Amino acid sequence: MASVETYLDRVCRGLRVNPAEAEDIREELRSHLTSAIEECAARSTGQRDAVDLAIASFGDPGTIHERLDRVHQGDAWWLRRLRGMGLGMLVGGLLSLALSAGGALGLITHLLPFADTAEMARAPVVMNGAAAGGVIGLLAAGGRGVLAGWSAGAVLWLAESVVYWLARAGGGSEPASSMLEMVLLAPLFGGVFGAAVGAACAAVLSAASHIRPRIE
Amino acid sequence: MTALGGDILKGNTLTLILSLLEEQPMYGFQISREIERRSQGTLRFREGLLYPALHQLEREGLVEAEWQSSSQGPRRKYYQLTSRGKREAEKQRKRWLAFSGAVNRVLGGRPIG
Repeated sequence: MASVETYLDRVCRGLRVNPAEAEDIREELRSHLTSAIEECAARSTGQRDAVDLAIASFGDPGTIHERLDRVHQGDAWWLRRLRGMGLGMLVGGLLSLALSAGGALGLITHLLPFADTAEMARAPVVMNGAAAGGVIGLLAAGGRGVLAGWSAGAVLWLAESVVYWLARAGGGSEPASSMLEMVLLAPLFGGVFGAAVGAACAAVLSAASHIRPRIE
Repeated sequence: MTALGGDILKGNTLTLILSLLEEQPMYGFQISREIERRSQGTLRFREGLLYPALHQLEREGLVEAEWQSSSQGPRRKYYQLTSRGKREAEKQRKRWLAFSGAVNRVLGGRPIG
């Protein structure tokens, strides 16, 4: 069966899928070839000829590889996460830009930690939103967009708030909110921002997976 | 009868698969043999090209797959239609009947061969 495995190597090597999925595809093709070889061998051809016939009927490995790759493109976990991160950065950046452009500066102070009204300029707000969105998108790409977004948003908001609070307290200026308020508000404000970004990322990624080129 | 494959099957492979799976769950090898048997050897394609098509249908939510052990031979991955797949199969069947009927009318019943 050495030539079957060599043939399968040519079909499956380099497919942009997770290792488990690659093994699943390989086993399915191997199962087909095994049945085909048994069928050919039963027609009184020798084992060697049966293998050759089955492989010839299966088709050109390069063409099958290309079509499988086209169907499964983007299934690799790292590619999905990378896309999610880019998308999250875009959505997070646009969301904070829209809020600041809309004059919702007070709201941004709550939604985006580090966005201190006293020092706020649009560029750092957008960068902060994009960075937070990137992390949220990265997590949302693994599925459960709203839940992952809400959790990540809340944790990020809390972490940034603690840093902000410590920096203000250490610098001798009075923080705008108490630490307790920040802890209590994190699930609400950070969570809302995260859930919005996560839901948008999940929706776009899901829609994109349905508009790939179709195999006819 | 002359075997047909390649371009003439293009666009219809998915319809053939959906139609066969309407009857019962099947695995890839079984699908390729059923197409060949029912078309009396007229419809032939490279068997490996069946799998990208099956995976495409699975991604689109038209079929779902499940591995099953076999008492003889290797494990097999069975495909069956989802409820969306059943609706799509019906749609594709109507589309094909309309198309083939129109082609037959154009050819005007002239004898084949």
